[in-house]
Amino acid sequence: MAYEVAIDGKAAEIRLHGELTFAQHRKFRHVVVNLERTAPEQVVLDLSNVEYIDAAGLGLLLVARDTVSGKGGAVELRGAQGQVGRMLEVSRISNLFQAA
Amino acid sequence: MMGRLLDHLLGRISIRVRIAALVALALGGALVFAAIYAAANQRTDQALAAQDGYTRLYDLAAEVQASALTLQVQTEQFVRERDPSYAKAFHDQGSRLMAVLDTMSANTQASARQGEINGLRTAFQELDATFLHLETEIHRLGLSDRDGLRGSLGASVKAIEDELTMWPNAAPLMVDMLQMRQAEKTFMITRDAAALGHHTRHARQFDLVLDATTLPPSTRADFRRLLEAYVSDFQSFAASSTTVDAQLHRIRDLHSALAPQVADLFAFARDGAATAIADQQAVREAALWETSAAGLVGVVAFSLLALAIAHSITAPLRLIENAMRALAGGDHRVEIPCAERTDEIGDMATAVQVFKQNAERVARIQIEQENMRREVEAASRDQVLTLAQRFEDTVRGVAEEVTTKAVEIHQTAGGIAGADGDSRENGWSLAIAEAAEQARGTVAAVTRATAELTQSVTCIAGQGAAVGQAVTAAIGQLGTAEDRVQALAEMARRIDRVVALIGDIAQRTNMLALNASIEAQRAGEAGKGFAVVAGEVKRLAMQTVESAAEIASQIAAVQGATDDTVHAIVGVGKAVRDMDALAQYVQQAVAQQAEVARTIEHCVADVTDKTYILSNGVTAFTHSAAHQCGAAAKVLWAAEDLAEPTRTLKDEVDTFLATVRAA
Repeated sequence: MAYEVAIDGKAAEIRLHGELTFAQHRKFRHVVVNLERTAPEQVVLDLSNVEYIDAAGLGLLLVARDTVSGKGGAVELRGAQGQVGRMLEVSRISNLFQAA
Repeated sequence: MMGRLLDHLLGRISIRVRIAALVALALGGALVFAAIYAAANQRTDQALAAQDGYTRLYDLAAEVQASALTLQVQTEQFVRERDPSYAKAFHDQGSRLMAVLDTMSANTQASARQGEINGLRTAFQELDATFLHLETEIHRLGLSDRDGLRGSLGASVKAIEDELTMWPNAAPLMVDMLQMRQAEKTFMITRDAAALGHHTRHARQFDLVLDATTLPPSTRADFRRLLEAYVSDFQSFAASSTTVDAQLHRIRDLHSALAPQVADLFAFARDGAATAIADQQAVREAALWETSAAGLVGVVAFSLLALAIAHSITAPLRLIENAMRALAGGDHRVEIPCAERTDEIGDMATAVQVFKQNAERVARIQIEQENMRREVEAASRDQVLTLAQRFEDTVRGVAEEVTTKAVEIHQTAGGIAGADGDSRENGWSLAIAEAAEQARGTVAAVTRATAELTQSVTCIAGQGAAVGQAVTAAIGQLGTAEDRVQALAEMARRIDRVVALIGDIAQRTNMLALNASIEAQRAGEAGKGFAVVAGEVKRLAMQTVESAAEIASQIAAVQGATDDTVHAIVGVGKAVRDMDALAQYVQQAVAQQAEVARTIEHCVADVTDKTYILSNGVTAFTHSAAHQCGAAAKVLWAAEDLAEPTRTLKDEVDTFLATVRAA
């Protein structure tokens, strides 16, 4: 997994690449620590380049969401497609995030 | 001794009651003081009233004295100047004086002198009466020289003197006349009785000289008459003047008698006023002294009592305070005073006693703790070192265990999330969930089809029921038609019977007509007419029989048709009933089909529910798995974070132990 972060004031956009499974938890921790430190109010997680996600990947997204909302912010998921989109739809996980 | 007894007594009464009693005493004292003050004030007022009465009496007495003097002066002036205004002034003054006397007798201070005032009133009344006499007499004498007796005297003198001047040879008479005038003037001036005698003597002399004169007798008679008038007038004048003098003397005497009485009354009033003023001052001073003394005594008594009560409160309080100070200072053996008292201070002392007991207990505990501390200190330093060693071993063990556990947690968390295996194995949940979604779609289509089937079956059942209702109605109407046809047949039968009866009657009529024609022929010529009638009757009877026969044949035809109709109707009714039975059968079949359709619908609904539950279950499972994996990631991160503090703890423990061992 790779990621890029773009922070503009209180808004942050994080673009994730590759697969999002439990194996990527260490890299994802860097994202979470980053969010905890900068405490942005509005976070967009761009999943358009994510190819595969499993339940553990969904769990990591939830951890990111809990971190941001604990600081008073909100997270929006964007650009999910293919298996990722179906996974989000079937699990109804996207209901727990801010509507696009 | 007294103070101690008082303290002891007061100690038995509660402070509240003491204060209340003090307040009550103050109120009582104030009431008593107010009563004393009011009494003193009343006495002062009485003395003032007495003083006021005497002062007024003094003024009145002075007025009486002045009035008496004025009356005297007015009497003298009236007598001297013969001016009636003085008399009027006298009367006015007298009335005023009476009024003053009345006022005086109304004065309460003069009640002891009422007799004297009455005497004065009588004396003044007498004075007034005497003055009235005097006034009358003076009026009689004549206020001027031309009035009254004075005027008469002047006129008679003038008449003689005029006559004397007319007669030159009457000169000797002139001497006596002059003598008489001298005597007259002397009397007027001196009121001397000798002058009266002198006058009388010269009058007699005049009379004698008259006879000696050469005057004509008629003139002499005239002189004599004039002389008599003069003498008479003079005597009247003298008598009146004497009376006036007497009255005047009387008035003077009365005044002389009155003067001491008035002076006495005046002196009484003056002395009374002086005494009353002195009394009033004395009473005022006494009152002042009494109220001051009462106030002072009250204030002093109240202050003493208040001090006593205050002392009864503060003294034991001070004792308790000292005891408390001693307690606070650590002296636990101090005796708590006043504990035997039954008032609030006694309660306080009891409370302080509790303090003392607590302090004693605390002191005991402190001593015990001190002993324990010494014992602990007495324990050897080796023990500390042993403990440090044991502590080091324990901490080191714990730290190593923490590290081990962190590794274990790492493995466990990875196991939960399935991280170390093939992560794609987690994809099965997605497949199940999607399959469940598809099943839900299919089942929904089946549900819709089943609903349509149920609807059409229900529609057929409704139409079958309509057919049944139409058949039932046809059966009802057929029944009615059958009844009516039966009634028609019955009617035809009855007509048949009537036609038979008519035929029978016609036969009998025919027979009668035949008999009648036979009898007519027997009668010969006479019966010819009758035979014609009989022949007509017979012909009519024959026609009737023929008509009846025709009707009977037609009725028979109707009956035959009716019977055919009845048969036909019965046949139709049977066919319709058969159809009704068939319709009911069809209805039952449709109902069974509807039931089957409903059952299918229920089953499909059940399948839908189950599919929904399955779908939800998969979603919930995915949620739960996601949360668990998230939590596992967090635990893992926390476990990784443990390594650093564990190392720090180890270092800190080493440093601490080094310090302990070095000490």
